[in-house]
Amino acid sequence: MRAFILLSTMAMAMVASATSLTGPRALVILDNLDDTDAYMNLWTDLQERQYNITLRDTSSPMELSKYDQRHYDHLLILSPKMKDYPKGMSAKSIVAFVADGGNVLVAGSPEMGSTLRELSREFDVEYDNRYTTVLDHFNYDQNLGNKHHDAIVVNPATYMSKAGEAIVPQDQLPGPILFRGIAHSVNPANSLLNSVLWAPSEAYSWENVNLDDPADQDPSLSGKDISLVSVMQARNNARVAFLGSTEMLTDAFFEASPKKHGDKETISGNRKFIEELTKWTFQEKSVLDVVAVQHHKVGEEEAPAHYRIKDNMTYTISIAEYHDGEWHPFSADDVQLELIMLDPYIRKTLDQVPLDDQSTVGTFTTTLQLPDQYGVFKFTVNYKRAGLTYVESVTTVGIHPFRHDQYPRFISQAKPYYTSAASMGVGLLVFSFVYLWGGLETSVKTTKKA
Amino acid sequence: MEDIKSASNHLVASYIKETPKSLKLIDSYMVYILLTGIIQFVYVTIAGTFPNNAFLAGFISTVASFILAANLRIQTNPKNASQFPTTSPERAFADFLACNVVLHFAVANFLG
Repeated sequence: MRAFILLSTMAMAMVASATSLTGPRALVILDNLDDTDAYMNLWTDLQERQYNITLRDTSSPMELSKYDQRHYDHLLILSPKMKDYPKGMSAKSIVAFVADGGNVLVAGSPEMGSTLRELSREFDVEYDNRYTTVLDHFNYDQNLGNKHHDAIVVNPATYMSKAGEAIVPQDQLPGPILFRGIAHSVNPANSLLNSVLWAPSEAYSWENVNLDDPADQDPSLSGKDISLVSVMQARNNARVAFLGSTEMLTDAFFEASPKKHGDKETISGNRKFIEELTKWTFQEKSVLDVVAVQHHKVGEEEAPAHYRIKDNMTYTISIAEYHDGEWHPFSADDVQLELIMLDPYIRKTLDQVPLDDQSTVGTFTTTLQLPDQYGVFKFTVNYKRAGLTYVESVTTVGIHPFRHDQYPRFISQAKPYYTSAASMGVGLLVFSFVYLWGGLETSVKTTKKA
Repeated sequence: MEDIKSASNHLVASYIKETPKSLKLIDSYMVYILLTGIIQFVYVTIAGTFPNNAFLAGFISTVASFILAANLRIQTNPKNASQFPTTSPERAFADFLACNVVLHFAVANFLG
């Protein structure tokens, strides 16, 4: 029996190690189940990464969670045309799903209805008006977008966020990215949101009906203001991705050979891009975990019950990064330690201990002198970087003042004061002695005689 | 100028002649305390107030000793006897000693 439990635990551990940290259950909502065949490569890729995919169309009722238990770990909404949410689901329930730790991928299209706009607005993402498309007369694809210049070829080296390396590393893409769909904009003030891919500088967003009519006003969005793909990581580390195009996930775009006017044919980077994007969104990579926090006085090994002001101490934090189904050491040069009591008293960048073959975690350490201030302090590592899980580690420690016997007893500078106090005592004794036994004519007698 | 000189001469002469010896002893004790206090005050202006507690203890011990001595002098002065009908000079001296004991406990406590 025990062996069976052990085996099943191991099997579960193996399955878990190969996939997303949230879980394998993925729900896909399509406008119509007939669309299933258009995404065969996507399903294959996801199933290779051990996902259990449930396909539904918008007409079937479904519940994301019941009795506070999520039925799914991931939600892919590939149904931009839906007029109403499926029975049992709403924008609110999807937000609740994210708040509960579920990951969501939303793909729009020019036919996108108000349901998904309502959802995206919850995340500070604003899609452009219905029936608008991103157009580009310079970067359109010769095969797919020849007629309307709506299938655009985006060069990842130029139009992908450098800060998004943790999300989609651009040097791993075999070629440019093909996109045909709607523009969206992200609220730049929202620090949880990051644009991963934006439109070429020459692109603009325009109504896709009556394209031959002359344009009589400026487009609402153009150039780099247009986000094509953006992501949000909520404060609970749940991840949400917004795409402007369902087509960029299809086999047709995965297998296309993008060719800009006057350029050679290239290999579409879409498949790799979507693979990396879904890996990120579904918590398969760039997930950080604090493995251990240690602190002790210099020259000691154990954490003391409390420190004393001005103690020299060492703080060490170990962080692991999850990717490719395993935990690896995390490397960075900008992890900072803060020593806080209401205000930060000390803020110091931690040094990474050099990694070797045996390293399983990235270890960051520093030695510092505690401030000349006693109280309850927090050792805080508050490491929030685009694309990486938010790391917030708080250790509360007490810093005591010197005890009365830890001060120097006699200070040479104060010797005149000690001498004075002693001389006052001696002076009193001498004075009293002379006053009492000095054979003085006492005032009493004088008074009485007088 | 002459007046001042003669007045001060007269003052010194009458002090030596008319003041009881016990009061002269108290006066010399007070001068000694005053000088000790002045030396400390000069020292603190030169060396700074660190350690402040030791300075306060040392300086306050001189100030308080001076005040106690002054009180003793007032209470044992025969010319003030009418104002202290219930306080004999022996009683005044005992009060003086008791106050000094309390003072020096406090000073020693505050000194280091």
